[in-house]
Amino acid sequence: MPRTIFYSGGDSYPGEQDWEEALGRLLESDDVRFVRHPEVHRPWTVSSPASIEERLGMIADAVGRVGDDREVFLIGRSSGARIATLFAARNPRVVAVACLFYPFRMPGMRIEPGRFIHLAKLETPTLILQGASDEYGGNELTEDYELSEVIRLRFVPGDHHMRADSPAGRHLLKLIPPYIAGGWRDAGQNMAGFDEHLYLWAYPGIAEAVANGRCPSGAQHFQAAGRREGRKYRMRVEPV
Amino acid sequence: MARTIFFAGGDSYPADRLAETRLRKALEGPDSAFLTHGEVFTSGTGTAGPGKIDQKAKVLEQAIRNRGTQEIFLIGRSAGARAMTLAAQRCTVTAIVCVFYPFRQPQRQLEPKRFAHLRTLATPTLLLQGVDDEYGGPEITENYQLSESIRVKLVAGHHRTKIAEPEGADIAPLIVDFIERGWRETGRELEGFDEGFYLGMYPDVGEAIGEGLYASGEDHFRKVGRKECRMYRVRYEEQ
Repeated sequence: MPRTIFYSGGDSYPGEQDWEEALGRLLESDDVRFVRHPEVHRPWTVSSPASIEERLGMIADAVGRVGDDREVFLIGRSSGARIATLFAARNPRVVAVACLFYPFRMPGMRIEPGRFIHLAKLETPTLILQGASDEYGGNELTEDYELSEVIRLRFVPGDHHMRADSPAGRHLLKLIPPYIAGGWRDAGQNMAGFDEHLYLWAYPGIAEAVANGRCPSGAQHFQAAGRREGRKYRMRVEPV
Repeated sequence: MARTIFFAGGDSYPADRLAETRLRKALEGPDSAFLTHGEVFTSGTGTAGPGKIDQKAKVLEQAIRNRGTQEIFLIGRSAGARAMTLAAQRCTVTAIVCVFYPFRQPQRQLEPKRFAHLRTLATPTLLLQGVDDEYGGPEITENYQLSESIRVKLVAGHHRTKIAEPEGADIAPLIVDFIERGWRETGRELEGFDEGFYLGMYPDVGEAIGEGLYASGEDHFRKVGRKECRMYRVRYEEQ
């Protein structure tokens, strides 16, 4: 089925157009329409971006105009990722979401549950691509935030302002087209980078169960029970 | 006006029964009823044991409504504190004292339902938190959004410290004082505000003070910082 992919930038847009341009080059084809940020969103400035509700409305209007014969995907960067997942949580039209540098927590500020609470129950397959030292949530974020099992998480070295043409940026860009082309269907592979060592170190009781064979591995414990129990875990950072 | 004081222990109850008895002695009077944990969460309802926060909050809410038009004070420890802050959003409560509020279970991810409602809590509340509390210590004001009706005071102790034991000696007098008079004093919710921490954390606040826009870091926090989710700290003074 032909696809329409919407790109939603962050508060700093158009300061991050390198990602949009790179994604457009990778994804656009005869069957795939890549809708750039300005086609959907009104212009804004860093100091006064559009509100969450306003942005959800702009996406709703745009998605509402897409014909029934097309699949809808969303890609968001930073606050655009927050909007994309919020929208997907309430609109079944969205097949899958890809997030770049999700803003879990504003640096130097207190926790705002509205930024992440919906991710615990999200049912739309979602890929979150994050810098391991992202100031809005680095590779320790899995110790803090509950993510539903449809969310797949990949980390590369880098921070929130990683450039698309850096080695890590190019590595991330390569992950998005196969995900949209069908990778989103196998949500079960998201434990590939699970940090077994850290999990067993944090929970000696589970380490003991693994050592004496009552439990096959930390990753399997996490999938069977640990996620529901809100246990902390980490995904390994990928070399680029 | 007549008043009723409710006590709710944590999942460790009856660990605090001695403290409960002492608080009853200090606060009970001709016009002042004191209902213990056991009297509120009567056996058989399934709410006396651990867990079941929402059920506990409902039982408490009903017990509060049964008192009619009275001043209602709630004293809760850990899970009991959580149930009380939830109940206070559904019926009229004069003031709450929370001891060792369970913001986050150790070694677990964040559970926003434990703390999200505290952002909008309108009831005057004293939060007595242990400096070594593994469910939330002195860093709670850097992590969680608390409404301007919540006063945070750090006390000696960890999450399992009993209120009646020597380490918890500061706690009972603070509870009694807040219920007798402290809750009426508005504007004291930032008592012990750590000015040095705030200005060190946010250089832009120092600049705004220099330009005469704010009198102090505390003034900035009151006027805009709280809404912006800025972090702050309260000082811990050893008694």
